[in-house]
Amino acid sequence: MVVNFVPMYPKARFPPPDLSDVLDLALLDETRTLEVQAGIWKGSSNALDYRDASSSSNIKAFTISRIPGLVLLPGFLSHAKQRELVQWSLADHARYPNETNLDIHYILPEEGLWTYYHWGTKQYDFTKGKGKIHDVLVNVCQSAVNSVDWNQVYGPNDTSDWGEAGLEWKTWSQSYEPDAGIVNFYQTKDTLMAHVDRSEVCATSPLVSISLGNAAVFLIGGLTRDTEPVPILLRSGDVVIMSGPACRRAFHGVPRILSNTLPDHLAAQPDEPQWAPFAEYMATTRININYPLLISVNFCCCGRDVTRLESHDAMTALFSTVSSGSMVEIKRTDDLHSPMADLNLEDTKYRLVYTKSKVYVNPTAYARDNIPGFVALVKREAANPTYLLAWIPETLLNEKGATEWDKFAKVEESSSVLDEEDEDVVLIDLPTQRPESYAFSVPLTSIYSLIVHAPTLSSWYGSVGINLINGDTLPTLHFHDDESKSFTLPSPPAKRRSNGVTTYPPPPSTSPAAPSPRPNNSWGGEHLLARLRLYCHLLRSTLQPSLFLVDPSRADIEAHSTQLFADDAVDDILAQSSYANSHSPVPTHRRPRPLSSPPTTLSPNPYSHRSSVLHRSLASPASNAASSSQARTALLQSFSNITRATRHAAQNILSHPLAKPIIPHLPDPVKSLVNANGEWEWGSWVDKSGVGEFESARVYLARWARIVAEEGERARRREAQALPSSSTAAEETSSLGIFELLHSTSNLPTPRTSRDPEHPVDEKIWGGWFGEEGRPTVRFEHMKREVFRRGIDAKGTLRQRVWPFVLGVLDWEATDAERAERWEEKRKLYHTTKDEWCGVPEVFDRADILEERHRIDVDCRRTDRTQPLFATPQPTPSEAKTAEMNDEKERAKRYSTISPEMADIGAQSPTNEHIDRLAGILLTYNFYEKELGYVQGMSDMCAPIYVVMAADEELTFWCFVEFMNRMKQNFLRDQSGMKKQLLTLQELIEVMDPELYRHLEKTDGLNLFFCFRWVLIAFKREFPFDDVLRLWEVLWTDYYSNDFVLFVALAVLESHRDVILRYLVEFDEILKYCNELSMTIELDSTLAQAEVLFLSFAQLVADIDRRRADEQKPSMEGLRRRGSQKDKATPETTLSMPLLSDNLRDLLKAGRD
Amino acid sequence: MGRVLLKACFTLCFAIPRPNAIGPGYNSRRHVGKTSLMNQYVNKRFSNQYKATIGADFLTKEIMVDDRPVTMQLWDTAGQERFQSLGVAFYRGADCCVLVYDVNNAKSFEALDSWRDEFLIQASPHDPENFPFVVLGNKIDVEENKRQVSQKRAMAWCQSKGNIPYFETSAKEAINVEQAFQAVAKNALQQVQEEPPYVDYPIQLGPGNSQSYGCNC
Repeated sequence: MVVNFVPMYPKARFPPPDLSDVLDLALLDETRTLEVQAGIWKGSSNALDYRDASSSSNIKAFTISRIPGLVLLPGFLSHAKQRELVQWSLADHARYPNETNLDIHYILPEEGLWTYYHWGTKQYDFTKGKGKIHDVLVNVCQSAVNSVDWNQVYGPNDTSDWGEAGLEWKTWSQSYEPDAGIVNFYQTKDTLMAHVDRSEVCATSPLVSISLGNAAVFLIGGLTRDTEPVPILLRSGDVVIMSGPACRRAFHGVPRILSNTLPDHLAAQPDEPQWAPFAEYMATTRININYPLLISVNFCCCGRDVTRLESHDAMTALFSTVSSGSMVEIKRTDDLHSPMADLNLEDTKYRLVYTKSKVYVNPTAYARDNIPGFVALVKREAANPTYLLAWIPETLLNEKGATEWDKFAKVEESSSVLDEEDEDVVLIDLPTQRPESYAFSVPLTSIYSLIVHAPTLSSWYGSVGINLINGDTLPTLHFHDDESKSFTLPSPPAKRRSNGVTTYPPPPSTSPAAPSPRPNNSWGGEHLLARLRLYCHLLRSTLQPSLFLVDPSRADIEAHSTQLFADDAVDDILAQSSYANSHSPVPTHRRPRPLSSPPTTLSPNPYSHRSSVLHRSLASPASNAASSSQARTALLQSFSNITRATRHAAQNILSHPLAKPIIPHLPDPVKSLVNANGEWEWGSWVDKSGVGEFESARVYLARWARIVAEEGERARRREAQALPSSSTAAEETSSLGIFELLHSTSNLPTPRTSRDPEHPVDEKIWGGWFGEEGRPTVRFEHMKREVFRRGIDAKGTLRQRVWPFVLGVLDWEATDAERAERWEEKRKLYHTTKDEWCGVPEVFDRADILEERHRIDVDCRRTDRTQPLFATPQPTPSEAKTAEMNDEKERAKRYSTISPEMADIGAQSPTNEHIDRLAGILLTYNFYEKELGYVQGMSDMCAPIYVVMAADEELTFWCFVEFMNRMKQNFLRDQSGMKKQLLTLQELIEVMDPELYRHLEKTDGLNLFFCFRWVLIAFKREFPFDDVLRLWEVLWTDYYSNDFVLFVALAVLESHRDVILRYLVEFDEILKYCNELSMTIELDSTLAQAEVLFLSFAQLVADIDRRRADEQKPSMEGLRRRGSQKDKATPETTLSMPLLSDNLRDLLKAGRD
Repeated sequence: MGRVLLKACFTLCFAIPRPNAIGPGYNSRRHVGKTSLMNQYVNKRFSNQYKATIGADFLTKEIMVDDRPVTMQLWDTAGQERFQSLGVAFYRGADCCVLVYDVNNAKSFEALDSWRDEFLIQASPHDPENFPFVVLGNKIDVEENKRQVSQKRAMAWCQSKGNIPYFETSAKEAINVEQAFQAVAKNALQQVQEEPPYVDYPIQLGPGNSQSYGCNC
């Protein structure tokens, strides 16, 4: 039986890995019990046969029978040693500057590393490459080698081929000396693909591999991928020695880092603040130190073969590239089992049937390393023709000369299908294999699946990944449509073949500046898929929409095609209605619009029948014979049909066997639909959910879909928590599902959130930040960072003390005395300002002030009245009124009380002293900031501050002033600030999520008015009161961006983008939907998403700038460009980069002066 | 019979306070928001706790007009004049515009003219001359002696503008609200039926505009 190497521990979520067959030697060691238990993950101590191979009794060393030469030394490193090495790896070894790898992609914790960098997210490997190896490390490696009784490992029965050197293991204990090495930093979601270390000079001497931090599953197999690998759980302090010819050349990899397995001795300790930054970083990290790594010879890393690495510079370059999980898919075409080997290259004709230019392979995260090429479908002429999918780099074609290039260009220009009968047979030579070229060609029959990502957020090029049946993954293809001829040229004449006349060459492109004829919603990968459908069955998985199975097996078809919701179900209903059949004004965007369908000129796909439960449940409405003049009525009729149909659909969906597992997690009202047979139940749910009497069917569906999705997500998290050992973990702490998806299409590492709202800044931490005389002991940046990450403890009065600092009312760099002095000035200024109106009848009753008072009063009476301070109505003033009052007193009261007394205000809600004081503060602000005037929304912004400041008028005023300094632009008379913000948000969406942007464009939603309320008052109305406080203090830090609120808005939109794209096709529907998100948004996951979005955005900007910089350099690649492409090559590449407006660049500004 | 979706544009006139309305006379201005009026009609509820509208929102109600099922979208936007530039997006495609003033505030009545013009400019309907308006004189629950605009005066204005239907309402006491909105629906429906089927502007499902200007209530 052949067991493929890679799929054994797939990254995919199902089925969840069960670690019972993973060897976990820590279980043998009683002193490590705590470590094992704390981490939850647990293997088995008898999963594999092993035997003792230690050279002394106080050391544990085992050799695995199946893999000769592999030695495990569990718990070899003491806790102290582990710490020492972590510190060395992070603080000494990875010291700034280390050239290319320390840019935006690689941000390290601020403290303990280098202080100039933004803390937080992402970092990978770096190396010194030269210089002295740390003594401790040399000692560790040597003592590890010496701890092994190599006689036990090899002994007399060893059959390995040791080559000329002979049985060198006999002298290792004396001769072994590590000379160079590599340190790998893994984050919990990283994967190191199966690979072989190819070391030709010395492929036998021991390689010592040290694990630190989080545990990992390590797989090691044999010389080919066919050998079933053995899984071993490596924990912090474990050492693995790979030695001998069999083991050193064995395929090995790290499919999974186990999250939350950092042992206590590496975790933060309260008494060791200097360790905290390391602990924080290590919490999600595994460090792996490998010695020796012979840089004088070829070696393989992360599945990529790199040859001729002779200098340290080259080494550095390599290390900047071999790091993240996104880069491990590259492999050489002459690898073992290359499909090319299956083909007889002699005497075979290959006919080019389809090509597309400017399809890139990205060997590294850097744009400059991307390799342009052609993707092609090639038919191998034979009795049984074989179709091949190939990718050929431009450089290879160049070498073959102009004719070969022209063949490709010609085929690409023809959009029609060149089949057997076609006279324009284009024969080509398949390129010869070249180790470094990445070129490949594989029979379609050897392809198992395609991972297809359309251009989207954070990646404006779509990509197609190719998985082979044998488990290999080919280089991911990135479609640069903006450069590709088939997109930039006008469509060729469609009827070319009907008259048999060849019209090559096609008419020249009109003008390079002409707008691209690129159709909406279409990109290169979709074209390729459409073409592939002619030659094989492509099934889009319903479990994983980006997955397309090629000629799937019966079992796969079943597993991947049961749908609950189909993308186009609603459109289907529309299409079935009589309305669509009349020549009525259905706009294009309302017609059925399958997300990914082949052009209609191609043969219909027999498998594309509607298979969703929703589809099936919707009986075709009887053909209503509506005349075309009643088109509108007919459409509306069809909508009420949809509404009805939706009810049935919901029942059907919930009654489907696949839905059973989620039913217990549904909210009761939805649950009641299960097996429901009347409309009453549905109606009652509608009422309970606060759904209005009528909604457009799509808003209806959208809301329902959201509820189900959210419940499902909650259920998934609950299960993940309840059954940690059987879940795939790693995901459960992250609620960033969509972003994970989005980023897998990108060639940039995925940023991570740094937020930790579970551990807010509390009294103790806050107190610790101040030293003698109230001077701060940490930097302002540090304080803001911590507040951003953790928020402020809601207990007690901490917020009241912290907010003035965060907002800038009180100076950070000052002593208590200095602060008190400056505060006294502010206090006086407040009262001076207030006295301008308070108790001054001629001002108080002035017409304009009167109007202003009225506005303020009306709004304050209806702001946050559920807060205790504002909730209590004033005691009936009747007594006071009747009581004899001093004239002076009454007068004072009369001209200072903004809210008239209860008897006077009719239908409005009654006031109280706090409401009146709030109104006073707002009126005073009017005198402080004379240009603005009171604008609706200000009371919403001031009230929470008033509550947090415990009704302290002066503090509230000054905090509000600072808040308004951040928000003033929103309230300008000409609305220029809001316009600018919404425009910036619009541009941000365009860059980050072009698909959503296009959808909003079609729905007249680009004005983003449905985000108006969010932005105007910083989400005050969208979250419960307590969440608003937590959100605002995060926003006020201006930690990443002064306009972080726009990223919060983007995060909210992104978490609902699928629903919006699927169901909402009118501006009012989106508005309704967004308005009703109020009080349903989960704050912490939204903030986490906003942070990730910001970091992604920053990456994009950096990437674009880097490309620009690259272009400025004189091109050394002139040879790549040929013929007709030569002239416009440069403008084309320039066009490929989105232009970033100043507004967008301003988003990167953080902090205020 | 198909269901018709109507959009009603809803304009609440801006109540300007009188300078001398302080003290005993102060109560002549009261807050009756458009939100209250709409909620009274749609949800049969009156509350003095509706928050100031920020941005825009709409309510829908299914009703029968002349035995035809009709869905009305009633749009509600931020009241302060500063936010009016938003209006354009919401006015477009309106089937009817509702002008509301406060019978206890003469200024709000005097502003009707300009609000009507403003609406026609922003919404630019097909046939401005015959575009349906409905005028509501609201807050008639207040004591009679506070009233500043007589029914006669209001009706005269309405007649001069092409016989605009006029209703006197109270959102608080739910007086005449049902009838007023029924008239709104009827006029809107008429407008829809008289119009030729839309060709370029697809489906009148879109923003049903019931716009509220002015009053920062």
